[in-house]
Amino acid sequence: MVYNLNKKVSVFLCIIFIISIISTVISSFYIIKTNRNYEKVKQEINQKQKELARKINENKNSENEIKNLEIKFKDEIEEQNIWIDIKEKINHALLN
Amino acid sequence: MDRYKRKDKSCFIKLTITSIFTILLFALTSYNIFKCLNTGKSISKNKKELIIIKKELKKQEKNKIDLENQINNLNNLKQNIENQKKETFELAKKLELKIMNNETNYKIAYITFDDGPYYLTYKVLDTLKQNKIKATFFTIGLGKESCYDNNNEDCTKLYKKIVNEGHTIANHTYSHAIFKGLYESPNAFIEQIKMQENLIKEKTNITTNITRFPGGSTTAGNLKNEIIEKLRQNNYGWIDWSAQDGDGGNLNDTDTAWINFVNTINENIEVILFHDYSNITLSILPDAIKYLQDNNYVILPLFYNSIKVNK
Repeated sequence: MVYNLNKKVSVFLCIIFIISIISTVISSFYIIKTNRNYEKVKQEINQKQKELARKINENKNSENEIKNLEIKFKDEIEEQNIWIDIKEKINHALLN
Repeated sequence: MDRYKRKDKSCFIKLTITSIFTILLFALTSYNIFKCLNTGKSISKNKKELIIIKKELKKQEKNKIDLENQINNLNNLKQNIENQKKETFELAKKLELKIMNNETNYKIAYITFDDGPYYLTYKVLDTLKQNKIKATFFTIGLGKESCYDNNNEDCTKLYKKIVNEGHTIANHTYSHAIFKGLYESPNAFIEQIKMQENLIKEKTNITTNITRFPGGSTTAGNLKNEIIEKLRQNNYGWIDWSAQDGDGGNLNDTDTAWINFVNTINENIEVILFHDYSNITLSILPDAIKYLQDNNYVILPLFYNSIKVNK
């Protein structure tokens, strides 16, 4: 009787055991996959962050260049603005 | 009986080991699921961060294009100014036609300065700059009022300053010698024009084809038509004036200059004669500009295609 009971329990345990092996394998597979994804995203973030830092730096340099050019071409900028102003006045006169 | 007992014992041990393994495997699975969920959360958090970074990158990319355009514009400022000038003169021509056809209440004033450059020209240029006005300078090479008599270098600077500040530089003959052979013959006149043209070219690298007779075209007397024909043959345009403050004559006070100026402003397209050697003109210039602006005049520098430039 004990033997029979043990047989039933062992079959049940065997099924549970197999299920647990399968679930462990599947979950391990998923964890590898998720980790890969995580690494991929992290790598992409790093790459984009580097790219962003480079772009920000480039733009900062460009802004400095613009500031220098604005100082260098101060008179020309003023000159251009006067011509734009004159053109606007003529346009206004043409429309009225 | 003993055999059954041993079998039970072995079976019990196997069951226990299997149970322990099963529990361990479940624990491992649970741990994996928990880790998976956590990593998933981290991934979605990172993905959000990635979206923000990508957005920022796009923004920076757009900024980069804007900044590059700004740099290009700044590096091509001189060309841009030339383009603005060209467009302005095209529009001015349209406005002239509209004024001639009485289709607008607006008017045009061409402020011109004769006989310079002179040391006072610096002050004239400053006044024009302060008022954001462009004018026309009919320059001469030799003359008692010219800076050329005093300081060569300053004179070159002045020629360049006139051009660099966007004013029209024009030709008033080299000598301005009305009574010393300028109007002896059309060829003598053209020679003086060519000499001044060369001087302007040498000092500013600009070739101008707008000219003015010293003393006005009537001073040429009987030779006027022949000179005009010669000018036409050489592709020069010429222009007199329709308003002035009288600073070329014996003018002693600003009141008279002001009255002269206001009394001669009558036309819809005025060409105003001043001299940049005149202190009196210099002192009434800001008020003259304001007067013109208050009376609907758009103040412009002369250009060759203007209907006021005779060809």
